[in-house]
Amino acid sequence: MINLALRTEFTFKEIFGTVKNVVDVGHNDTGYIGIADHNSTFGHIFLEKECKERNIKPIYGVRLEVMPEGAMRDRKIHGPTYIFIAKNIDGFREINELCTKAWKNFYYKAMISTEDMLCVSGNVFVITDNPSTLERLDYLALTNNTSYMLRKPDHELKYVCINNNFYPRTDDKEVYQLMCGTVKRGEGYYHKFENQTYAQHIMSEIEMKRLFKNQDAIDNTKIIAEQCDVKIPKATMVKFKTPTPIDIEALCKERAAKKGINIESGEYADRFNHEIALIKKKDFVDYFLIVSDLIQFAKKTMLVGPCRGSSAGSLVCYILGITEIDPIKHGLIFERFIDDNRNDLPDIDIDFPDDRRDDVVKYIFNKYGSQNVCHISNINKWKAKSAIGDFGQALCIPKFEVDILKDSIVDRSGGDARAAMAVADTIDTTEAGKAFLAKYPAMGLAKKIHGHASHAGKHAAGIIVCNEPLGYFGAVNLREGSIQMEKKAAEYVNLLKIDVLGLRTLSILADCAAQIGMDVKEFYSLPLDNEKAFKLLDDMRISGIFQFEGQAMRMLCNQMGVKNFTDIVALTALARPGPLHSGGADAYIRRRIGKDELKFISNHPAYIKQTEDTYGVIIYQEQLMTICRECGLMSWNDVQAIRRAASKTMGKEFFDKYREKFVTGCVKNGIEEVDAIEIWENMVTFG
Amino acid sequence: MAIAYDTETTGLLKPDACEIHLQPFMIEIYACKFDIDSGIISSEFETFVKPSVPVPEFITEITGITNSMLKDAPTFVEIYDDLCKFFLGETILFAHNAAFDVGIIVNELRRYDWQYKFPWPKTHYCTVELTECIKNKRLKLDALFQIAKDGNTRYGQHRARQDVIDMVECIKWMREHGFV
Repeated sequence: MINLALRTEFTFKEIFGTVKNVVDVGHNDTGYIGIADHNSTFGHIFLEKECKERNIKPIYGVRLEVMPEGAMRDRKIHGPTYIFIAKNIDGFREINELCTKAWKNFYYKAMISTEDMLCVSGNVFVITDNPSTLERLDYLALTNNTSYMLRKPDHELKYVCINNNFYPRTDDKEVYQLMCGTVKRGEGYYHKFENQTYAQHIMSEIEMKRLFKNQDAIDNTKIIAEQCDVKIPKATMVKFKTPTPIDIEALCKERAAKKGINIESGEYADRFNHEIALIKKKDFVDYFLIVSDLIQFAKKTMLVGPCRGSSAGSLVCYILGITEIDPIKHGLIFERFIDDNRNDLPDIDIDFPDDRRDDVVKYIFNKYGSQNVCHISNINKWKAKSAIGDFGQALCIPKFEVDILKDSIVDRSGGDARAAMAVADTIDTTEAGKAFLAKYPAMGLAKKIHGHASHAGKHAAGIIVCNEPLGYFGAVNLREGSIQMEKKAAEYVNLLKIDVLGLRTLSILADCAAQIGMDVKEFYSLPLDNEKAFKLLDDMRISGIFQFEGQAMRMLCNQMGVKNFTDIVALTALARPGPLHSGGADAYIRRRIGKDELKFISNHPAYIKQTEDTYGVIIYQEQLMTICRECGLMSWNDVQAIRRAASKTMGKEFFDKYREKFVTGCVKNGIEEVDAIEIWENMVTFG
Repeated sequence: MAIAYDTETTGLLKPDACEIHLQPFMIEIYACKFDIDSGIISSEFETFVKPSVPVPEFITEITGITNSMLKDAPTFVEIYDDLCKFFLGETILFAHNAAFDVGIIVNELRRYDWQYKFPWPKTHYCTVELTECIKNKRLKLDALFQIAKDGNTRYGQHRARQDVIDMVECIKWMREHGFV
């Protein structure tokens, strides 16, 4: 039997089982697996990824409640749940559209009208276990709840077996019940899990056969599955909307001339030609034009952040006015931004004043059409703290006891190899955890929930722009204005994401400028050697200064003092967990204020050249990359992987894979092995 | 013949993983044997059960059962033998929200580690699940009774005996309309 429409974690808080889990249990070695969640298409891209790994064919579907037209505003009336399964790519678009419609009709719950259901084309299979009308129905479902099949209305429809699973395996029942959580009602808590007399797990063919004694219904699953063939489409690269085509090179030359940069010859020309060639090769031209256009619009009316993140390394960005930092003057690397080996889109983060952010979003919507622009969603998952908190409540454990356990949570950063084990480590290895587990053994179940989707929300900044209507790729939740797709899923189908961040500091600066009658543009040309400004930081009057407010920053600032612009740059780089924990920050400061002597791990010229400005300590990612490249003779590919690992704090295991490569490269380059290992250890703790 | 039964308890079921002493206690049970087609009740089993915890106020509000009514009632251990004898030999069991009522007895059995000893009937029918297709939602007994009795409302709600008698009426109607 083929499971055509299983439910997954993306029927939030009602169904237990990650897509991976459900596929593992549900595919039955048949070569097919289908999922259909309630009002949600979040799972589709996850399903495609899982199926690709296992080389099985995915079937995409969605479950929606169908209400009679007149009853859609009556809370007391409930409609039957229909399953819509896409036969082909048109069908896939259609089910996305239906799901979008369901959210549009939201009134206490998402639903579609009977008319909408009747209009569904032949590209979609319509299946239900409890039809309100027999029209447009392809199959009648035999589900876990056997009672529906007992009624035998007059029809000649065929039956098909569908699993209405609540959790994948029978032994997941306990986790499922705890996962559903509680609601406060009166004085007590009321548990929301559903308790049924029928099987709630994914039933096997044998179980289905024993239950229904209907071989045809089982065979029909194969007939349906064989007719379904959907490959999720990939988005084409977005085209910049303009009446006359724009040549990016000419535009750059024009803007460069305005800025007084000579890109015809010299260092700037080499860098410019290198960048523009790569941008063209990668087909990112329109992306740059879109972002540039957006910022040109914003800069007319508001204060835009000078730059953030890796885009600062691009000269083209600087010339186009996307950033306000000259990468050559500040020694920033372009490869950190775009790299030949990476296929994903570059990420330009832009800061806008938080009170004007909506204007920018509106501009994008107006320019590219509301069908083609959408906010991105994010899926919130259970992490250590929420898992322990929620399970503690569901298990009726007193809050003060749960709080003791919460306080001893083993915190792991996202990329750590044991990140997914944070709950397990907390419970199994800490004193408080062991004591807790001895008293409440059921808390061990919390391990199973780590990383399971809990609910979805709107992403704070991400906006996607697309040539095609976004309904081609996933359902759009019009209530929130966000597509039912997570950041990574959107990247997977090549949807272009622009981060429009709202920054309070910018609003404050703009207000200040308005009060003293200063033009906001003057902020970009403020001199970088203003003694008064350094004095302000040196005197520790740093409350309210962006990025200088944190505890770590205060401490470092106090120790080191600020005398010039380089100090400010160094401080922002030092006040991160990596340098703070590795002792790099300490070493830097001691050398900076003259307590320790300047010393280099290796006397190799390449190493000295890279670290002489920072007193022999590696504190910037640029340094890490160039050292890997020039001392360790590593390829850009490896360097990229290491950089990504460093910025995502992947943990030691990940770095160790590259250790050998680095050390052999160094030795070949004339660096002693002992030194090479020390440099490597330094860089690893940097991450 | 089939068995229909209902229980009144000190609360709602907690997740299975919860500690057993947090699970609700049975305070009243009524079971009867009846003929599915005619709905005629042939024998009855009814008793209060003394719980290990006091009855919460909201339960007294719903059921009308007070702590003083349960003062001299037998405990579950004391009624266990009679209950077994009543259930023994039957093959069909009916309950309104059977998962709950079965869960309550299972929990009582779990307290004494007897969960595998009880002579459960082989087939369990839940009148809630069977009638979910009428209105696409889980029907309360009141609502089901209204449908079965053409709009007549019922009295004496939320005591085990009256609930079962009304449920048997509903089962008779369900039988006529092909739900069972």
